This record gives sequence, C-alpha cells and structure tokens, in this order.
Amino acid sequence: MSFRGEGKVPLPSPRAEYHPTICRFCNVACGYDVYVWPVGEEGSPEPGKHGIRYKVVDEVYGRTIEGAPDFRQPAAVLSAERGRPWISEGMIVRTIRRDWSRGRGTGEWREVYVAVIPSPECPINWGNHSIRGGTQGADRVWSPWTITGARRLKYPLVRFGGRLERVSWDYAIDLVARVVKGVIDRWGIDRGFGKEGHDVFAHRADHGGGGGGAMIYNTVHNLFFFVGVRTAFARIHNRPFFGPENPAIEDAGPGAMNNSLHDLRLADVIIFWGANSFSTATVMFIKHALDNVRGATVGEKRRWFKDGEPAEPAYIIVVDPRDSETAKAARAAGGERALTLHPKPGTDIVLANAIARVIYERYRDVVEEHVNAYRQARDEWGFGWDEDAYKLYLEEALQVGRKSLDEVLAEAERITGVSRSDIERAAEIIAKPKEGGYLKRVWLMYEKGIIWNQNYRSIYALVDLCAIAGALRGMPGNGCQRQGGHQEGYAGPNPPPPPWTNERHHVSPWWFKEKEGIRDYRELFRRWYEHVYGTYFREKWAVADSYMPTTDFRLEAGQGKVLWVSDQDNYRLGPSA
Amino acid sequence: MGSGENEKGLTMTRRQFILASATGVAGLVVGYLAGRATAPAREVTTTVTQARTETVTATETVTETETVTQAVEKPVEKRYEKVKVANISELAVGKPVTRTYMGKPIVVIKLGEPADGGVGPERDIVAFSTFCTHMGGGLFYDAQNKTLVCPIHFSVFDPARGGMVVVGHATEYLPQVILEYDEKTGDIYAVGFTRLVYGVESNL
Repeated sequence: MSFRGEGKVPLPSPRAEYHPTICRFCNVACGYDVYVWPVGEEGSPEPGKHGIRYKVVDEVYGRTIEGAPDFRQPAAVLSAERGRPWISEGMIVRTIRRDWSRGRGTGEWREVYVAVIPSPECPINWGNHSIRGGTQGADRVWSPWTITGARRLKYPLVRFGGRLERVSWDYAIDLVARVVKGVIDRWGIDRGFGKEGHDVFAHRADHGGGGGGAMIYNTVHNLFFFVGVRTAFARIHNRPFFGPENPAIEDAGPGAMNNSLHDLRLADVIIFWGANSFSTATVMFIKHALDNVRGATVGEKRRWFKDGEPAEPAYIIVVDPRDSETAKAARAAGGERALTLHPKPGTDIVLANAIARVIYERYRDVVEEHVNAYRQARDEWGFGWDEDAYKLYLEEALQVGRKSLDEVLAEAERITGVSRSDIERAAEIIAKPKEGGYLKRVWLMYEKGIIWNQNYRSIYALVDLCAIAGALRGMPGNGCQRQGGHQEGYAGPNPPPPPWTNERHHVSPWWFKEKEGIRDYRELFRRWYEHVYGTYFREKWAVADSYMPTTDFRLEAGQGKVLWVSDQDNYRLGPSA
Repeated sequence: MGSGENEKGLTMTRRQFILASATGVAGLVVGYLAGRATAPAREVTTTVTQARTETVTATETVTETETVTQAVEKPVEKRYEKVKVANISELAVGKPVTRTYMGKPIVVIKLGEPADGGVGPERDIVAFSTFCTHMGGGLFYDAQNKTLVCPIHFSVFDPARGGMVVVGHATEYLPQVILEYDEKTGDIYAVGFTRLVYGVESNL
C-alpha cells in the first residue's frame, strides 16, 4: 500500500537495510537512498533512533553533511540540500519480501516498508528530485496492495483457438525457441559462419527509463539477437532501425554525451536548444542551471576561473518554438539575463547560422582566438581541426563573401520568425567578452527538438556554432552536448549487416567521402545530398536502409516471419505498432 | 500478507471519517491514534508457555499461569482540531488570506469558481498548506491563472482540483485544508488536512 492520504509516514528503523542507488529515469542520474525494514520496526524521530545518517565531504562543491537528521523538527525550505530530507507520501511503500537471513530469497514472506529518498549526499541532486524520481517509492516498487502491483502479469500466456491461456514457463520458453530455430533453419542465410536469422525481426528494449533495461539487460539482448539469432533487423524504442540517434555530433567531433553538471554550474552562457530540460532533465535544470542563473554558483566560479576574470550569474538562452516550461522558468529566474527564442519549427539551421554570422562579423577577434586555440590543439595535440571545412562553413553556411550581414539577417528573420534584434542579442550574449576582455564560457545543450527531424545538418549547425563560440575549448564552464533522455548502459556487439551487404554504418558524408574517394568538399556535399535526399521519393527504401535496415518499414511491407517484441510498449512507443 | 490485512482493518476502525463537502472530497481522515503514554500500573494476567525437554525422547509442553504487575501503555488520541480560520466577509475573489492551522501556515482562497472541497454559498472557498510539496518553498497565489506557484523550482498547483500538481516537480497534491462553513455566521472552520504537509512525518 502507498501512504497517500494517510497524513503520516513511517521512518526507517535504525536497523533498516540501506542501498544507495541512482534514479532509473532520465539521464541526470540523481542519487537515492533506499531503506528496507520490517513492518513493526518503525524508527523514531530522534537522531540515532531511525536509520538515516549522512556523511559526505564534497570538496568540489564545498559541501559537508554529517550526522543523522532530527525528524522532531519540521523540515525547512530546501533543507534536503543540507541533510534534512522530507519524506513525502510518494517516497514510501508497504510491500512483502522474503526473509533473507538464511540466504537471499529463501525464507518466509514478510511485510516490509521500502523508502526511496532523494539523497542529500549525492553531488548530482543534493536531495532534490523530479516528479519521476520522487515517486519511485510509492509508484515504482512492486507491492501486492498497489494498483500496478495487482495488475502485474505473473504467467506467460499463449493464444489457443483465439483465447489467451496461461502456460508454464517451460512450455513458453520451449515454444519460442522452437519457432525461432525453425525460422532460422528454413529461411536463414549463411555467409560462411552459420545461419543468420534475418526473418526474425526484433523490437527490443535498449536502455533504461521508459525503454526498459540497463547494462546487463542490454548485453543479454545483444548476445541473443545479434550473436545467437544474428538478425540485422532490429529496432529500439524511438526509431525504426538500430543505429545512432544523432551521428552528426560524433562526426563533428565532440560526441553526444560529454555533459558535466559542474560545467553547467560554471558556464557564463547556458544555451538550451530544443531541450525542455525543466520537464525532461529536471534536476539538472532546476538545481544546477537555475543555481547558476540566480548567482548561487559565483563562489564556485571564482575557484575555477582565471585570476581577475569576472564571475557573475550566467546568461541563459532557450530556443524552442513553444514557450515551454523551460523558457518560462528561464525568464522567471533570469530576468534580463534570459533570452527565449521561438523559431518556426524546422528552421533551426538558419537561426544557428544567422547567430554565428553575427558573431563572426561583430566579434571577429573572439572567433579568431577560439579558432586559433583549435589550430594550436591540432598542431600540438592532434586535435581534428579541418581548416578546409572551416572555410567552407564560412562561405556556404554563413554566406561570408556572398551576402551582406543585413541580407543574412533579413532572410533569417523571414524564415525563422525570430526578430533581427533577438538574433543580434543572442550573438551579443554568446560572444561579447566579459569585463577585462575575458572570453565567455559557453555551454550548449540540445535534445529532441533538434533530434527528432532530419537531424544531421541541424546538429552540425549547432556544433559549428559551438565551435566559433568557443564551447568546444574544453575549459571549465564549456560544453557542447546532447542532453540525453534516459539512463543508458550498453555493451555487446552491433547487429550484423543486412543480407545484401557486408557493411553496416550510418549515412555520413565523411564515410561517403572515403567510399567515393572525393577530395573536394563542394563536390562531396553536392553528391552526398543527391545520394541521400535526391533518391528519397524515387526509391522504395531510403538510402540509409541499405546499410542500417529500417526494420519498421520492412515489417509494414510484409517482410519477416517472427516479430519479437522484447520489453517494449509498442502501443505507446512504436508509431507503426 | 494475512497480518497486513488485519493491520489495515485495525487502522480503519481507528479513524473517523467525515464527508467534507458535497462537491467531491469525501471520506477524509480527521483523526487517529498516535503516540502512547505511560498509564498507572495495573494488574494483568499473563499466560506463559514453556517447552521443557526431558531426558527421555518425548517432549512435553507445560502451561503455567502466573500473575505479574507491569506498566501498560495507554493510547493517547491525537486529532485534528476544529479551528475558525476566517469569516466569509473577509474573503474576496483573487485576494487570498494567510492563516495558521495547527501550527502550519495555510492560505484561504475564494476562487470565484466551484472547487473540489470548496465551501460557502458558491462552493468556491478553499484552503491549502502554503508549503510546496517538492522542497518546501513558500507558495504564492497567481490570481490570473488561479494557481498556487512555487518561486523556487516553479511547481504549480491547482486549488480548484484539490491541489493537483499541474506543472513541475512536486510528486504530491498540495495538502488541502478540510473546511466547514457555518451558514448562520459565515464562519469558516478548518477541521483537518487531506495529506501530509511538507516538513513533517506526521500531521498530528
């Protein structure tokens, strides 16, 4: 049972089991403390008479929490940050568990409480939580007395004569194994190392949160589908194929997931582009981004910045066609230091390039300093800076030497719907040096608003903007990354290539360059665009399908003999379900 | 599992339920037993069962009865108090008043639209804890949207829907104060909270 409406929650017993963990939902990975104790052994509010005790000395953030909270005193506002959490009715559940005293899962069933409390010790969340993490106790721990617990499917079901019948696990496993083996034997192809089950299509979980699964779980999936069955036709929770979601940022250099919340606390300029982080990466935004925007991290900045460098609250720019919760929260917390841009959907490339052009024209010396740093990194450290690509970017994307700044801004205003003054203001926030000539430390993060479209060029445009804004310089407070959606743990092989080729890769101009042996960049992009988009409506399958099969489309076209749905709610997640 | 059912049943018998209002908030806890205090000693009869193993192979069970004297804890009842928090003449639409109920700050709002748990002739007078159920921020009333908003992390609650979270990070409904309305005098009484108020582990 949950404790909602009780007006009272039990405290962990002094002898409660303690398990530190992280939240299973979004990429932020907040720390949680899990306590388990038998019903009837509730703790008392006095320190030492309950099971909660903290000890952390965090030298990076300058926090020390030590001792047991006193639950006789009501929690003050934000007191969880200082080691006095408030245990809400959503953090605790009453359930049953087998007695472990003679070995795990061997004894009698006993009633226990399970409390999942945001950890004040964790440097990620400081006791803060989102609406997802804060309900892990009441809503995510199984209990026979909750609605989700009562509805849980306990046995395999097989449809006989139109009706689902309960069968044993032995029967179900044997049945599934025979079907898959039979399909591979009859229709599988052999490329010299055993038959490959290309007629077994997999809609499979690939990571945590809504998609289900984590490191071990993913590894087992990979071994089964890609080594055992050896199918090339797999999809995961949010895309019709099994491949990278935003390969452009890998091709462009920094890689997708290099985020550090410490950089977010130190940045001078925070940019959320197509990321509704208030709702989707909550604690990262409401704790670290808002702390920075409100000036709570100025002391930390002084520790990491150069001597004499101004340490001030951050500016924040939110780009989203909607006036999202993130945009509203940024304005409410940042006031004059917040800028929210609302481009028409699908015009992000034009907006990013227009901002970059203003930076290039008005703050040329800033751009030169950043670019020289990259050149130096290339010469001294082997950093992959491509001078030809940079020149091409200036000419083709920023239209330098082709159109005047006025023409570019007028065009951008017309296409994006963002006013010229807002574009200029964004460029000024990003690039205008701080007092004393110190360059701003820029941090940019993007997510689904950029990712869920034809995203290669839009992501490239953002990474290019990061490059000339210095966000790729790798100093404290810099960052250029994807936000990410869920917890992800991944190990194991990729799927084999589809039956018609021996290569499996995503569609990238850089791979195309190697394959076709094209040296000239203009030639490369002309032919690559023709290769990728020119055939889009003329061919049955998109070009990408040749190398990374679009499992959904082929399934809809009637291909495949078995569709294996593994821990995915396709009704919700798969558009072609 | 069996004892769990019993425990639940026992808990239920300890409670008193009232029908808070005609507009929907039904059956809310207004009081229960909490805490114990030591009462004067009295005599009780205890039955002691002992298993005595003889040197022979058989095991014999002997029941003895003895009389001992021990202190017994007498349950002390804690209940929500009935407290006058406002008179209808003090309230105007969009002008909430802050009060204290059982040591906890609350806000009494005349919403101008019928509300879950609302009292008064228009069924639009409600009262809530002013602590955000996310991390305890002090809420303010946004009269334009008729919501209660936390200025720290921007959780938003709907006072017309029993304190439902409409935006943000609070996992729990905002605890609503159960109100009673005296039609003769226009007095508004608080008689309980619907949920656990931020900061405490027990409302009582």
